[in-house]
Amino acid sequence: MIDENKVCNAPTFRFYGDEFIFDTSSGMCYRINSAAGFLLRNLAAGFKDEQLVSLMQDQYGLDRTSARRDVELLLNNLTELELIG
Amino acid sequence: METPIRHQLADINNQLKSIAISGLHRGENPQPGAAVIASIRRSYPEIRIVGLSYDPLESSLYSRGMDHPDVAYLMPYPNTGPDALLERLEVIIEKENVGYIIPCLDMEITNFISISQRLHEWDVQCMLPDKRSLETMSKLNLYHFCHQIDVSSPQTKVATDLSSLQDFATEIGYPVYVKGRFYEAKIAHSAQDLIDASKEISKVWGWPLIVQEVIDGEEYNIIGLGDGDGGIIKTCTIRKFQRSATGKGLVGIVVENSDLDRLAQCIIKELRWNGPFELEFLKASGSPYSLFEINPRFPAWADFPSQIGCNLPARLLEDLIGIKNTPLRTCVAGQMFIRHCIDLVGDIGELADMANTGVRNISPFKSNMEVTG
Repeated sequence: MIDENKVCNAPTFRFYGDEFIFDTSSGMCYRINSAAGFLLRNLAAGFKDEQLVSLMQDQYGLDRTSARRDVELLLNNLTELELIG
Repeated sequence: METPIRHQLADINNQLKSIAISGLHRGENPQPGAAVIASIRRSYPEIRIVGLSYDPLESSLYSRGMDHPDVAYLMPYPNTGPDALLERLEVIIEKENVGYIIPCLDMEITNFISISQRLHEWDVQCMLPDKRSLETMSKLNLYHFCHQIDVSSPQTKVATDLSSLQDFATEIGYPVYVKGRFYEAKIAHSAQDLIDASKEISKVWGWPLIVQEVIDGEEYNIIGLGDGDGGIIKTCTIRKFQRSATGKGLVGIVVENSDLDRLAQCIIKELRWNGPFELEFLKASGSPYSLFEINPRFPAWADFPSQIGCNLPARLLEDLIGIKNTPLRTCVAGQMFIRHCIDLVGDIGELADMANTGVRNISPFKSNMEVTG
């Protein structure tokens, strides 16, 4: 389940194109795929969990369950990397 | 270049005194002095720089870049104590009209604190921490200090003999770091590694040795200047993006991290640190930032922030001279340095000159072997 209480430190992301991000706080950088880039940009823009799901659906023509699973997986990854939490 | 300040400096003191700087080797294990010289020359290119050298092969003595001293003097090793230092400095100060000293090696700081009163009487300015601060942050006491101020630090024990070293390593759990009280660290994965490392390090640095928990994580370093009243003049924080096999930063990237800023403020406030410092932190996944070392001097990467508007060595010099400070910019996250090794050209005559006389004037290299075309 998407954790509605998750606090996102998204403003510390800096994007270089669609597939490279730098976290200005941790100094870590990541190669990402374009779907992750799309989600992170929207996360950085302040969109929250269910909004992200809707955006994923619209962008990639996914059903709601698949979109929710993708968002959840990405947020979990970001939490593990301590980029949000 | 901060031209107005340079003019101001020239106006204030038409006969500029020289500045003496140590730690001149930039090799596999680079010392900070050459970076400090380069930084100062960026703002004050006309100032005469006197190198305090411990070896005629220190690399910046052969540099043709901004990082070489104008003249270098061989110094007695720090372990000969403050009297030998003072005796040598007396000659150099008089001959070179030295007005300021920036010691750049850990082992020198205690000696410089011991002779600071005499330097003051000779009108030689030197920004140093007080003895209490230096002892508190030493490798031997750092863990206790961190515990007192509630800052995370790797578990650390001080061993005075092999038996206690083995006991502490077992207590902490392998792998552990074995460290000399001033320099050198080796990782020990087993009891045999521990014995080998302790023999090697104690042969050079003596006992006690330090045994420290290994934290596997990202390394963050903070360079800064303390004002002596608990405040920080300015800092620049980097993550070591790439490390050498011995843990030296080959690539560093600026970060903007409020947690590290708060930790730095807390530590420097508690120490009431006066002068340059480097704080070294490790961050393991899911754990807090852990302070594993404080260095009582500028780090070897000091010239990186200087190149992006945060010239801390020049600021230190301005404070020593007592002139208006050049504003220091905040380093922007994402700016990075990459350490670049080059081969300097020298001549055996230069080495012989210094070995024979203890002094070397450094001028542009001229060689009959030069290849042109």
